[in-house]
Amino acid sequence: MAGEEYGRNRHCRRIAGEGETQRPGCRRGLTFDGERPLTLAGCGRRLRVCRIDGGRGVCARMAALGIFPGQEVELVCAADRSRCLVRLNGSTVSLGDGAAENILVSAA
Amino acid sequence: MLKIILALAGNPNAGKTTLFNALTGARQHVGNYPGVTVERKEGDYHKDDFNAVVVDLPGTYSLTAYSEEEVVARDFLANEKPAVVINILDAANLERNLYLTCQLLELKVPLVVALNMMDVAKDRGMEIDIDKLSAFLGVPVLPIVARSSRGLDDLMAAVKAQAAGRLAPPDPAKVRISYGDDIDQTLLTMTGLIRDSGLLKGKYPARWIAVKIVENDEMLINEVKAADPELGARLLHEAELVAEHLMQTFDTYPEAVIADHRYGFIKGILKRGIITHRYDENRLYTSDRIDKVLTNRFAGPLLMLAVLFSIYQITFSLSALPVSWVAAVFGWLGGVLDAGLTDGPLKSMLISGVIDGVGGVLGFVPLIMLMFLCIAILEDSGYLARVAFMMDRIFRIFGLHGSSVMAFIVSGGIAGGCAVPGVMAARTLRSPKERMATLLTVPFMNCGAKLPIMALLIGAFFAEHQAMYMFGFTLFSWVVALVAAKILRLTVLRGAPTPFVMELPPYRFPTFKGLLIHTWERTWQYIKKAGTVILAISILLWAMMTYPGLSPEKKAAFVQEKEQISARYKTGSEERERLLKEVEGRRGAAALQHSIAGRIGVALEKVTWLSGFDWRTNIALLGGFAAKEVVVSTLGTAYSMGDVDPEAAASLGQRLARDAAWSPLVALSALLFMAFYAPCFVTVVCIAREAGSWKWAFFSIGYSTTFAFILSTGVYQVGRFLGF
Repeated sequence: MAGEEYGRNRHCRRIAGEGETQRPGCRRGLTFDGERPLTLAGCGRRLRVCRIDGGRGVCARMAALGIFPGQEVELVCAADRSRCLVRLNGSTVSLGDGAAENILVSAA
Repeated sequence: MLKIILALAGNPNAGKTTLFNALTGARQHVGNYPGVTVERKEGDYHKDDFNAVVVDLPGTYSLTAYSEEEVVARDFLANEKPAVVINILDAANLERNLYLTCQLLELKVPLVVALNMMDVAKDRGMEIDIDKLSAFLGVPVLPIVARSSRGLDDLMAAVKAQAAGRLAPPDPAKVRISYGDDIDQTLLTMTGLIRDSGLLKGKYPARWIAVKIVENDEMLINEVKAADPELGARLLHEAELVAEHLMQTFDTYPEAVIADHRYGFIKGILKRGIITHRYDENRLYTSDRIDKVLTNRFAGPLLMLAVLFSIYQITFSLSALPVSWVAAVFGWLGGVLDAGLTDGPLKSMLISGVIDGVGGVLGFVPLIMLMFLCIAILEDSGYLARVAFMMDRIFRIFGLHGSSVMAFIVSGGIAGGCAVPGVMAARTLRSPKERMATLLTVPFMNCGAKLPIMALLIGAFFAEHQAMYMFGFTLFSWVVALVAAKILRLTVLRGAPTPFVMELPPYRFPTFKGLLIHTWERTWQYIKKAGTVILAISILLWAMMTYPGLSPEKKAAFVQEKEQISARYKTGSEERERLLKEVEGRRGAAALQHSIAGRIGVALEKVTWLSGFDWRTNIALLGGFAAKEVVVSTLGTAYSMGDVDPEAAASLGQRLARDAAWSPLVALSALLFMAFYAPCFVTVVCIAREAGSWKWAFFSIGYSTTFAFILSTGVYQVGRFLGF
């Protein structure tokens, strides 16, 4: 129940745009195989951000950095599992474990 | 001629500061680290009849008040209304960079977009249709390469046209971003209310205020509440309604929806044939390949240590020769004055106050310059951000943030920084407690001003292992600072840590010009400090050490003693010279002890004997509160006045090594005390300013001095006990 477990806080999530259907994995409360915090995602993989937990400020700040639900990112293998190096749109962003565990991703 | 104000806005690492340097030629710092330009920087631009004051705004990702940089940038745009804002974009990362552009458009500032790093984008196989982008944004877009100053003339021509009002503002219908029906409806209602009441009119556009309230921007909400409490409550109510609605129907926050639509708007523009990729979009670039090695779990930290240690080796081995040249010049100057002037207070002041004071400090310029050059290379290449990244795990343990490392490194984490910019660098920290802990502990680091004292004492007493000792002291200062931070975070600054988020800029080859500017700028600041504050303090201390002079009776007694010696021994005999010198030495020592500084120093001996310091060291350490470099010059003054050794060329270090009051153990105790006692008053003032209260500044003085005294006393007493 990864979705429930990490959905304690209020979170932000992508809304399906026109002509798009809501991705099943990005809904709260549903278990979706593969939706997991970035801290537990495999290195070197392309992932899609499903959700960002951690309150209003966190969500908006991540969005300014380009990390928001629907965005594809690549997890560059970090030095250890708790800190993540994420590549998106040609830039590299490093996230501490506190930030990374709030980002829920699924395989792209 | 009227000067217009020109602001540079953009994401961190987009090349803002590089463009600023290219436009103004100003000597100022360019870093490769997010948030290095916290201060507002200004420079003049002249070309033909076009004059402008260029303001380099801090790098920001958005205009919502999440960090102080964003607040600074936004306040500047809203309050000072620059005639033109140049929004500099990293062409290789357009999508995220345009996120800020969207908000600048919403703020309705007169915009000119500079598309920087076109060369990098081209290397990455990107083709950007600039005319199309310009048409979609409704503002001029100019391609530039700030590093090599390419495209600046065209850019400034567009700026000139924009400033003269020759360009039509962008079509509002075209650049207005729709945020979905729910939010748009709310915005419409709120905008109407704001327009009708004239709320904050002239400062922000009405719709922008509405968007920021819906985005839950606390700063702006407070501003609105202060301006019109009643309307503020109504607007907030509207925002809450839409937030609730979005939470119920989509289970999301309004700012997430807003961000989503902004990116939708950007993607919509970019998709229309603006960018074409010639290569695979997702291939690994060189920078990423380098990162695979440099931030590797095992190799990364080892390489980092190797890099830091090699900085010491380079700095100390290459600086040795120039340091001796500078010392020789000042020695020669002292000699010239000694021969040319008649004895008296003026000669004493010039030699003991001015030449010894300034010369002692300037003698270390080559060393400090090399150190700054190494730091500039690390910063400009982008490696320093990786150091912060790798350090995050360690910093978290001590209750700090990975970004704290910048403050620590600037303060002297790599020896040779300065706590003043270090304290300023702590502004990038958002959590007040982590920031306060950083502010209070960075002065423990090995700042550039402590280096002369370290070099002096280590050179005099531990010369064989100079680099090892310097490196050891730097590592030890890290340990002390981190442990102190942990203790502070567990006691006076308790609280949960904030998440670590930082952009790692791509590796870039530092430009030669950039390195020169950064090295020179920092070195010049050091010299300026030496030239002004230190000269004044050196003279003040000379006065404190000279006045009040000995009483006439005592003076007469010394004169009489000398006359007796002169009478007893043949003129020119060795014995006579030796005895005269001995008397003169005693007279000098008595005079110094009699002076104001001497009295304070002697009084403090009652306490400082515990750590092995005599009154001269006490005077020097007192002077160090004004600026740490003064410790060296004061020791110099104290020793050249109290001791008329004819070997004027002998360096202060050799003098100390010969002195009975000094031993390697005393030197170690003094080194430890000097490294960790109260920060210099400039730093203290900065801490007070940054922390927002003098309480923390005084706390900083008190706790660090207490700690330093306990540490040095412990070392001295244990050392004595062990028979050193």
